[in-house]
Amino acid sequence: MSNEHGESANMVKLILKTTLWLSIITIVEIIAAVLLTDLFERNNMLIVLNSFYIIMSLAKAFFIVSVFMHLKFEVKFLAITILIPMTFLLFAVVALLAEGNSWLQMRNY
Amino acid sequence: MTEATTLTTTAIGPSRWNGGRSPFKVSWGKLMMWYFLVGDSFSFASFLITYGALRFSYESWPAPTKVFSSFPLLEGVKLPLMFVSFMTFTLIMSSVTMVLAVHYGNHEMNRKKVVKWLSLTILGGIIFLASQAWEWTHLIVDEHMTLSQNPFGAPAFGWLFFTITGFHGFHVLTGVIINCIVTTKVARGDYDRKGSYEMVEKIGLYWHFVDLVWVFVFMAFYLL
Repeated sequence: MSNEHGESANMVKLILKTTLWLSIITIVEIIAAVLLTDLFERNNMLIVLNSFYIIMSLAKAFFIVSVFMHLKFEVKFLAITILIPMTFLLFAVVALLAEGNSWLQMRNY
Repeated sequence: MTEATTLTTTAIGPSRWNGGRSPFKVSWGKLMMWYFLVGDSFSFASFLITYGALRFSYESWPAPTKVFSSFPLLEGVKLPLMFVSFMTFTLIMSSVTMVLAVHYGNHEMNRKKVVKWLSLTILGGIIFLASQAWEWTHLIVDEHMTLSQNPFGAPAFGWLFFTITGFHGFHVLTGVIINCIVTTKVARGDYDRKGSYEMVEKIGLYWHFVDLVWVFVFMAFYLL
């Protein structure tokens, strides 16, 4: 019983730690968006900032899915059946952003 | 016992293909909630990928720090992204209160604690919806943004913003409604009688998914 209680307390600790990380990442993202956008835009380096947002959002998604949605503690194959379909989206993102770019060129032509 | 089943069990022994056990060690309901969320993430992905494709097809796109710089009751003051930051934190915190409700339900079957944390989750959801209502009203009434035009630039920005944040807001609304139903059932003691708080966990998965989608909606509209 005391062992179970300790496990429960550890889980609450993990939840609070995850909350802290989610908050820190969000605050850093907002500070970057408000203060650094102009600077990076002037130097033509907006892609660095944008990559940062994408990586940080994926990190937040990882924290939410693994800890809050508890997927880290489920059977590995359950996680695999959920995550594999998501990789197909990567294909859609690449294909359609390239397509969008070609619409731009047609518009300008 | 029929002859056929006797034959299988005696011939090859109890097999993992005979059914009767869950290979993923989760209940049917929870598994189906997960696969519903997989499907739903594809609907949000199709929205956001459309947004990306259209955005790439315009020379310039409205800058988030210019579009989203108002705050309720503070007219004329420019506070870029501050209101949406408040909304984001409301949603993150409501996700935390939800995970605590799930935790105290599964580990302690503590009815009082579950009701407390679920109520706070509902409160967070309502604050988020009210904030979104204010933001939409501000954009429609003060900035005259419509589905087909807006004062910020690319015409597609308007309908993309309203459809995507609207679809997300609709998810928050349904989440709040289902949360209210589940909270009532917890308070009534339904799950104590049933001996399992799994329903709280299932609606919890849905609520976290709504938070997860907001991470990407927030990135697409307010950061990039």
